[in-house]
Amino acid sequence: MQIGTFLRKEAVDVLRQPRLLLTMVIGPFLIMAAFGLGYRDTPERMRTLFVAPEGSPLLDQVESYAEDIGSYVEYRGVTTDAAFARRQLLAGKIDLLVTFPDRPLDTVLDGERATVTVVHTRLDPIERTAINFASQLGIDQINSQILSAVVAGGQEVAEPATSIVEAANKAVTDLETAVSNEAESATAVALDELDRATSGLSLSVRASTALVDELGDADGAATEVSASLTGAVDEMRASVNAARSDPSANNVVNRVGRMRELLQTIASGYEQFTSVDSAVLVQPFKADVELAVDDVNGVTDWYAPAAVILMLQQFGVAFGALSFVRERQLGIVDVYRVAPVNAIETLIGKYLAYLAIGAAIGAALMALVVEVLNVPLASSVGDIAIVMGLTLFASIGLGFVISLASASDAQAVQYTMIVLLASLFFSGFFLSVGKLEGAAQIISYLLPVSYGMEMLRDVMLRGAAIDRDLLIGLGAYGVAAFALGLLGARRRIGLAR
Amino acid sequence: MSTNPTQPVITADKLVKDFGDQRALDHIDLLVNPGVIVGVIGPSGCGKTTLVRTMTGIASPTSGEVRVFGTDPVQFTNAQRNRFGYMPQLPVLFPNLTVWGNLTFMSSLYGLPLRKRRKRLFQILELVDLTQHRSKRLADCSGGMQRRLTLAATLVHDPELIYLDEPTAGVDPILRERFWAHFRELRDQGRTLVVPTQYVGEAVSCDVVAVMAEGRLITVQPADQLARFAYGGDVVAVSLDSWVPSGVKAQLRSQPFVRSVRTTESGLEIVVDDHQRDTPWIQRYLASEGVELTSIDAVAPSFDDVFVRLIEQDAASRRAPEEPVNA
Repeated sequence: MQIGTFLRKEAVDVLRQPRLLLTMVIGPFLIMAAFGLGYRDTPERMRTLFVAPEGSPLLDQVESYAEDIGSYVEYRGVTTDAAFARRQLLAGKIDLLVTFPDRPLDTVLDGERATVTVVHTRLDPIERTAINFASQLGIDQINSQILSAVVAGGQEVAEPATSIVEAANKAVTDLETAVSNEAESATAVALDELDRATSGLSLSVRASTALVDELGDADGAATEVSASLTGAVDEMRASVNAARSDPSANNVVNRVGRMRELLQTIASGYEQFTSVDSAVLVQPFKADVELAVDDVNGVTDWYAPAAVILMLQQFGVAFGALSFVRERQLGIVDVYRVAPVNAIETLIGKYLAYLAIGAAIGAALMALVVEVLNVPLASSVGDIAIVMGLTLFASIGLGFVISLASASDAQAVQYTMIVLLASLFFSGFFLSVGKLEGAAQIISYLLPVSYGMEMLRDVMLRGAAIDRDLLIGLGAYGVAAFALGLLGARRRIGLAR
Repeated sequence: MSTNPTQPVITADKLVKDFGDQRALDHIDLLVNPGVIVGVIGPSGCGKTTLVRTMTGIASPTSGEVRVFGTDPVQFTNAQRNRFGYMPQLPVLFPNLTVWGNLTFMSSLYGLPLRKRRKRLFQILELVDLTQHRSKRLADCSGGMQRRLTLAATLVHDPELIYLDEPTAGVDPILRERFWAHFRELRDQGRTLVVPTQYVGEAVSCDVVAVMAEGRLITVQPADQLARFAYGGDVVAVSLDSWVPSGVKAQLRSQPFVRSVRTTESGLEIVVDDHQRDTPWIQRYLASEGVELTSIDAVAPSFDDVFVRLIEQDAASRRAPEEPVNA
C-alpha cells in the first residue's frame, strides 16, 4: 500500500507541473528538428588561395587541380606572394593557404617527395581532422593528375608496338618473297627482322598485360585477351625459330599464313590495352560508398535516438537526484522516519512513478521523432521499450545515488549537470565510444546513456537484435544503482541518528 | 493495541543526547502517564525538540534509555508507529500537492482505509478550518494554513500518542484556542499529548508541565502546582497606603510559615505556606503595627513569571558552587 502511496504522490507531484512535462517532450523535439533542418551534411568548401613559385608551371595548372578537388575547395586564386597570402589567411578572407614547393622537380629527381604545405586557422579538432583528410585527398588527386600525364606519355611510348606489328608483317612478306626466290641471304635477313620484331612484341605485351594481373579479371574477358596475346607472341616466336631451323621454301611458305594470322591477333589484342584512358589507369579504382541499412539518411536519423535516450537519462537522473535531497530539505524525511513505512517501499514507489512518467515522455518523444521527423523505426516497439525502460531504470537509480550523496538540491543539480556534460563527451553522442580508452572508457561505462544509446541506435536504425552484452551490462548497472539507492535510503530514512 | 491506563506511555531514564561536543539532553528522567497533556516549556534551544525526536525514534540516545509503549522507539514496529503522530516544528509537507493531496498522502502512508478516508479528511479539515481551501496548493497557502495542515496531517490517523512540536506557532489566537480545545478533547478520549511550546502561557492548558533549561529537566509538575513550586508557596500581594518599617518586614520574615517577603511598587509580595490559613494573620499583624492596607489577596503569578523564576533559580543554583553567595 505504501508503494502505491509514493507512486501516486510522486506522479501527482510531477504531473502538477505540465509546463515542465511539455518542455521535456517538445524541447528535445524542437532541438532535433532545428538541427535536422539546419545541418549541412556536405563538406564545407574552404576558400583556398594557392601559392606557387615565380615561373612555375603550377601557376597555370593549379586552377585545374582546384577544380578536381572542388568538393572541398573554393578556388580563390593563385599568387606568388606568400606573405600576402598569409595575411589574407590571418585576416579571415580565406580558409586555406596551399603552398607549392619552390623546385618540386629537383626534389623529385633527388628521389624525395616534394611537400605541399596546407595552412589554416581552424581550432576545432574535428575540423582539423577533416582538413588533414581533405588535404591528403587533394594531394592524392594532384598526384594522380601528374601520374596520369606520365602514363599517357608511357602510352605514347608504347604506341610504336603497332609499328612493330607493321614491321613484323613486312618481314613476313620479305621472308615469303626471299624463300620464293630461293635467296638465302635475304631469307636470313627477313628472319632476323622477324625475330627482332617478335622480341619487341613480347616485351610490350608482357608490360600491358601486367594490368590484368594487378587488377584481376572477374569475367575472364581481359584475361582471355591477355592469354591470347601472350600465346600468339609465343607461337610467333616458335614459328620464327622453326623457319630459321628449316628455311626450305616448303616449310616457310606453310608457316607464313599462320604468322600473318598471329600478327593480326596481336595487333587487335594490343589495341585494347593501349586505348585505356591514362587517368583511369593511374586511378583504376574509385570509391562508391553505400549504407547497408535502408532508410537512414539525414543527420537527424542518427542523432534522434541518441537525443531521446539522453533525454530519458536526464529525466531519470534529475528527478531521482532531487527526490530525497528535496524531501530532506523540506523536513519530510522526518515524517517518513516516524511513519509505518520503510526505505524499500519508499524507493520502489518513487521508481515506479518516475518509470511511468519517464516511459510516457519517452513514448511521446519517440512518436514525434518517428512520425514528424521521419526517423526510421526498423525494429519492434517491444525492443525499443526494453532499451528505453532499462535505461530509465538505471538512470533513476543513478539519480537516487546522487540524491543520497548530495547535501543540498544545488549540489544535486550540479552533479546532474556533470552527468549531462559527461554524457555528451563519453556516451557516443558526438564521438564514437570506440575512440575512447582508459579512464574515458570507464566513464563511458558509468553512464546509462552509453549503453542505451548504442542499443537504441542498433535496434531502431539497423533493425538489429538487442545486444546481449549491453543489455546485461545495463541491467546489472540498474540493479547495482538500485542496491546503492536502497542502502542510502535506509541510511537516511530507516536509522536514527 | 491500546494504551494500558496503569502503565506509563513514555519513560526516560538518565537520557543523554550529545551532538558532537554539544550536550542537547542532560540526564533526563521523565514519566508520562496516559491520558494527559504534557507541556514541555523552556527557552529556545533548551532541548525540547531533541527530547521529542528521541521519543519518536528519529534520534537515538547517546546514553540512558527512553521507552515509548514499553519499547525503544528506534526499534518500533510498523504497528507501533501507527500508534503515534508527530508534528514537526516546521511545516513539512509537499508544496506542489494540494491541501487535500497532502492529507491523502499522509492518510495513505498510515494505511487509512479508502472507505473511511474521505470522511476522516473532511473531519480533520473542519478542525483546522481548511475545508474550503482543500484544492489549494500548499505552496499557495499562508504560513498559518501550512501549520494547520501539518497538524491535520499529524492527527489524520487518530493516534494514541501525539507529539506536537510548537503546534500553535503562527496560528491566530482564536484558532489557537480551538486547537487547545481539541487537544483537551483528545486528552479526554484517552490520548496522550506531548506539546513542546515556547508559549509559556499555554502551560495553563496542560495537565503536566515539564520545564527544561540547557538540556536539563528542571521540574515536572502538574500545571496548577507549578507556580507554588516556583515560588515555594502561595503568593500573597499586599497593597499599602503607608510606609512599612524594616522591623515589620523582618518580623514577617521570621514567621515559620513565611517563605519570603519582597517589596513591590504597590506594597509587599509575601510567599506563605498556605494563603487561606496565613493571610488573616498577616492582615492582623500589619494592622497591629499601624500599617494601612488597601488590599490583601492571594495571587496566581503568570506562567511567564513562573517560568522566568524557575529559569533564574536554576541558573542561580548552578552558579552556586562556583560563586558562593556572600552573606
